[in-house]
Amino acid sequence: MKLLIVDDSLIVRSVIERNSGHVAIEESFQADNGVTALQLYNEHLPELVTMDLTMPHLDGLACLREIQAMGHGPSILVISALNSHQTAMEAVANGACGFLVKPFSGPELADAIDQLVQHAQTR
Amino acid sequence: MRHRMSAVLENPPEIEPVFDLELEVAEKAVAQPDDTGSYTVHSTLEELSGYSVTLDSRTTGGDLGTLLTAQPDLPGVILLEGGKLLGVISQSHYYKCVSRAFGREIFQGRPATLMLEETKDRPLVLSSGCGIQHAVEECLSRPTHLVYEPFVVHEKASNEYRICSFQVLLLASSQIAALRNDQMAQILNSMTDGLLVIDRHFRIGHEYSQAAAHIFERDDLDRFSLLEILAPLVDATVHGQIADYLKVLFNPKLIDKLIKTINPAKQVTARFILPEEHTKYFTLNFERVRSQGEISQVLVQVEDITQQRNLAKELEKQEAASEEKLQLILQILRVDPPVLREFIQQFRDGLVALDRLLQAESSDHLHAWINDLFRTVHTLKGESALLQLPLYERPLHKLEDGLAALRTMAEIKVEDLALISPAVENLRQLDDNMSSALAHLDQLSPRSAAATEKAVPERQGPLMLATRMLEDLSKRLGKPVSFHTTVRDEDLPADYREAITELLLHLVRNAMVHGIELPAVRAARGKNATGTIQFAIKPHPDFHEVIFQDDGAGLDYEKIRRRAAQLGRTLATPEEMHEAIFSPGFSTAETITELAGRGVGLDAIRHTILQRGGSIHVYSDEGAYCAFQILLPLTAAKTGGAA
Repeated sequence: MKLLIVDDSLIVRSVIERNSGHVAIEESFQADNGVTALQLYNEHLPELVTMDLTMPHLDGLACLREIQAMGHGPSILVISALNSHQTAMEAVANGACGFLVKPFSGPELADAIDQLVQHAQTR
Repeated sequence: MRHRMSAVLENPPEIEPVFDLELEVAEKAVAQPDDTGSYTVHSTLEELSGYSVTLDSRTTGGDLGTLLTAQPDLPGVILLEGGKLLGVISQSHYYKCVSRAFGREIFQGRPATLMLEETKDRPLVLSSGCGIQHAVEECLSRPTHLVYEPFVVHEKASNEYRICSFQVLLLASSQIAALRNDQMAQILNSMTDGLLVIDRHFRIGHEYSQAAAHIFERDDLDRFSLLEILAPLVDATVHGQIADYLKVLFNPKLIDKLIKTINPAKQVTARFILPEEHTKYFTLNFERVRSQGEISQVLVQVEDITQQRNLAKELEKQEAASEEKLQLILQILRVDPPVLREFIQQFRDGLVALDRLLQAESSDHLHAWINDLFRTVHTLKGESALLQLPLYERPLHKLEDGLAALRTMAEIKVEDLALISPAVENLRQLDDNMSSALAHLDQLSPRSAAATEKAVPERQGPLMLATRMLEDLSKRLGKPVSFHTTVRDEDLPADYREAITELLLHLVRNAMVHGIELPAVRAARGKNATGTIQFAIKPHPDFHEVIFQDDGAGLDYEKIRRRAAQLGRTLATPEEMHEAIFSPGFSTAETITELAGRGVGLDAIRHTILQRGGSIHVYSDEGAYCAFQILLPLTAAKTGGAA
């Protein structure tokens, strides 16, 4: 399985990468904005995506909608600060299948990634 | 024998009783149902009542008829041959056989096994270890015309067969269902967790725990949807968020664990109006139940967290108290230990006196008592200001206000003392915090108090305190002043050390507030801009003479006269006016500040001196000076004189 990590913070991206050591993940890609994320998505069609919501160029919600529109149906986990209830609901409505609230701990993240992999495997 | 004739029979022949037949075999074979009254949810067919009626293959149809007629409750018989099950002839099957044309004649003398050839249906045989509920399912899955037929229970260990009626099985099954319901109800009633189930329309299921009813304060939860229950309790925004979230919960594509993070109902504030207004805090946790890929229902766990929240609040309060302790520690670290000890002792004496006042049972002498305490509190407040202990100063000021209000009442009743009890309670709390702050300090450095005392011996004692008070007031009032004295702490007569300290502090405050003028005024009067205060103690054979003098404005006789007139008194001679300034409630300061102006300074001084058997005299020249002469007998009177 392939994992696309979308977050504008290098630190957050590397933390996610370090904690996504699930055996099923063979390859991962990183994008620091929505536009790059879409390019990488198109190129590799990853089954798993982690998505920040507040990013430059193309924000997370718009990016989610675009990915959703491509119709490959990846398992998407939103990893973001819970700024508003509304945003979380929109993310879920736009195809995210889970929400991990920042700040998170390493084990929480690892657990969330495991759940995401499981979700992708059983669909 | 294979062709059937029953179909053409219009009037089945009457069946004659068959009592004349031998019953030997039948009687032997009949068994009473096992006595198994109570089932458990784990009950198996082993516990089900049945009949061990087995006939061997030689039994005739006539014998069988006799048996079945005599035992109408018997569901049927089991036919065995050499321990092997041949088949079952149920009551209905027997009557079907004998009711056909010439049925009786055909089967009467022939082996009963012949009846088995009339049907291709095999009996249902279940092992005795089969659960009751499973057995019901097995029976019900038989062809429709056999559903109500008896079935056979096979005890494998002993290779025994029993015949059981479907009706008995159904009764057992319903008993077990009732038992399950009871158990469920018991669980739901005894659960401390609020538990309920909602369907995809958010409607609450019939089974919910008593705790859930208790939390929502209604017993009809199952008549509503969760949103309807919440609507009158929570504010509209939160209600909208919960509604959104409930919709999300029924989306099977979402990952259970990863949508919990956006649950908006982790802490819900609920306002109940009936029977009286009150607020509760609770948490709603949701567990999704999946069936066939869909979310069929959601388990809602409701937890009342009001107490936890209140505990957290209480903890915050305790933290505030700790903060006060810390502040106290910081504040008392600045104060010389002996002076602090002295202050705390006086403060505690004051508290004891206040407690005694609050326990007063009659209103006799309350005025004098309150006047007395007012002086004490005023002194303490002044000292706390001087020692820069604002944590003491503020509540003491509040208490002083309360006492002042009491003082102005024409008649004080015991109930009126309630006016000051909260303030006293605050002070008591403060004293507790101080005790623990001191204990903390001792723990931190057990010898710190003693060490400080030794390191700076010159900083202890009343004169240092008075000097610092002067400096403090001088700064605060903008009145430069110099203090002249040759008295050292060790010169103070041991008997009067405390009293003179108190006197000195009162006189200093009095002189600074009322006596010494502002530099501009002094300059206008042709005086040195810096005021002068003198303090001396002269020894005499049988008394001490304490002299305190300032070169300030002196007594303003005009003001004193006016003030006396306001209080309805006429003063003529200087002696009368000197006397007047010592009376309670007599102050000429124009505004009441934390420093002075409540008419206790001089009042307090004279009170102390008279209590010790001494006397006080005042000398003054208006605009030039004011001097106090205090005479204290060598041996201090232990009991107070007239106040």
